[in-house]
Amino acid sequence: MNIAKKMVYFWVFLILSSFVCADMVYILNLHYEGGSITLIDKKVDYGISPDRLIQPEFGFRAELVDFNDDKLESFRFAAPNEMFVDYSSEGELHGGIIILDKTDFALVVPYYEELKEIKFYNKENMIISSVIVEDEKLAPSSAYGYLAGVLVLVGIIVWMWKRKK
Amino acid sequence: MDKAQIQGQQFVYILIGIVSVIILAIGVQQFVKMDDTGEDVQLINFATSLNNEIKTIKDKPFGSEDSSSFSVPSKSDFICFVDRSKEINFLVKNELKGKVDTYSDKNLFIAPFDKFNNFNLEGFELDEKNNPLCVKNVNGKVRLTFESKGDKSLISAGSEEVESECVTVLNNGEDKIDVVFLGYGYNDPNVYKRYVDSYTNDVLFSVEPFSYNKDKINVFRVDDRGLDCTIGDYITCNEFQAKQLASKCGADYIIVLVDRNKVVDFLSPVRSSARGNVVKVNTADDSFVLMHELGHAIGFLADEYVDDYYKNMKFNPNIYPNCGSNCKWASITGECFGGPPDNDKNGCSIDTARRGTETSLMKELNVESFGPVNEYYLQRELDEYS
Repeated sequence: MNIAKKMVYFWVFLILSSFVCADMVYILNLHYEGGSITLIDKKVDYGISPDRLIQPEFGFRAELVDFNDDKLESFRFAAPNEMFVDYSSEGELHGGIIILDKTDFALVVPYYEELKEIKFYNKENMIISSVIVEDEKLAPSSAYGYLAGVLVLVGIIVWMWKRKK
Repeated sequence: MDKAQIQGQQFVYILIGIVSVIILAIGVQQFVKMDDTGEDVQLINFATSLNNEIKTIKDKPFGSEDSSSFSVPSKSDFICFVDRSKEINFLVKNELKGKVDTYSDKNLFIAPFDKFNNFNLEGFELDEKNNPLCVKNVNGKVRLTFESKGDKSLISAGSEEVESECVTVLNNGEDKIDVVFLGYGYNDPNVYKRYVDSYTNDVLFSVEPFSYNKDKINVFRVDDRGLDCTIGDYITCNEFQAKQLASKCGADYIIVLVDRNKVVDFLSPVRSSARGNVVKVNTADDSFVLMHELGHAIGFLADEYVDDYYKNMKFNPNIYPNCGSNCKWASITGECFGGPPDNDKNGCSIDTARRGTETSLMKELNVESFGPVNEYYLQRELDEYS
């Protein structure tokens, strides 16, 4: 096998490898204040979303909605403004629960190409906020890497084709 | 003082000296024994994780690859795999030959070979050029690559250490509860690793129903030291950052361990906490505070101790499985404790509420049990996993 052929196989392998995507997730940085939730920041990254087989009976609810306003999935999560705090002294526990007026928190949800927004419901199942998440797609580094790989492959093919001629 | 008194005094000093040396020797022996026992459990977890990873990859389409880092005992130097179906080149590790000959039913050896037990793994193969395959322990972990070969998994040494990687402490397979440890304030990665191992084996898996359900739980740790936290009355961490780090491992629950050196100098005690699926642990506190916080996070259990703090808020005990204004545990134990008429700090979060367990980890840390009612509710949640 000549070197040029080997190089083509090598680059084809690299390009194909870039198609094998690990699971992707949205990581949402959220702000809770006065019963409302707003989006501070968001990131699409390779990772695994919690499977959420365990959910609180009484909690907030997030509903992932697509561009047709259809529900993609929904899950309950513990109220972000409630935090149990504890310390022990000679085995005796002290502390309690802190109710925060405002706080930042984060959620990891599965990545859907068609995800438009996430609607949040409070413990009383009343909608409190809706955050738009549609604009971000692939993480820039991954997208640029992929694009660079495709360009390199095209370059090699053109170079080989010219060399053959 | 006469001569007899002086001699008697000397005898007492000698006796004190001998007793001191014996006590010290016993203490050191116990400490070494405890460390060795911990390493045995770590090795069993390591072998279990390897077997599950081999099986997972083997069942994937031919050629599928995965690289993972595995937590190994700090005192181990190398992890050596041997493929007995192929020619073994002992020149790679000459001292391994004796062990491979003696333990003919084993194929996983840990150096120093006289210190650790050997194990047998099923369903893997090695490249003929790398048999045996010995991988160096770097900062308490080894990185390995697995490739599906249909009926077997091909194991090779993983590529260079990846930053913010997910290190497997215990892998029981897919679709399990994934618990991810993050550290804050640890300057020495080995200290952090020891804490993770200890909280996993000596705390998490020592309490029912978690010990009984050990095969439903995967444990990982992320070694990245960049987590941003602040310490005050309680621990606050950048949750966005924590979830980015932990999502590499697929965290269902995140446990942030805070180095005791970061919290010991505080005048008022720094509280451990649970919010959603994130638990933060002050490691200077009793280690079983972790189980109390997991009781909140996994079982949605309320505090069973009574604290004045609850008096100042509108607390509804009935939304928690382990507290209530009535005795609601007839189908579990039929017993009821606290609340009126014998209130006086003996209720469930508030002194007018009742609880299903006389005492438990949700009430105090002097007992290392959740008690039947809390175990029932925790088991109900764990039953969501197979």
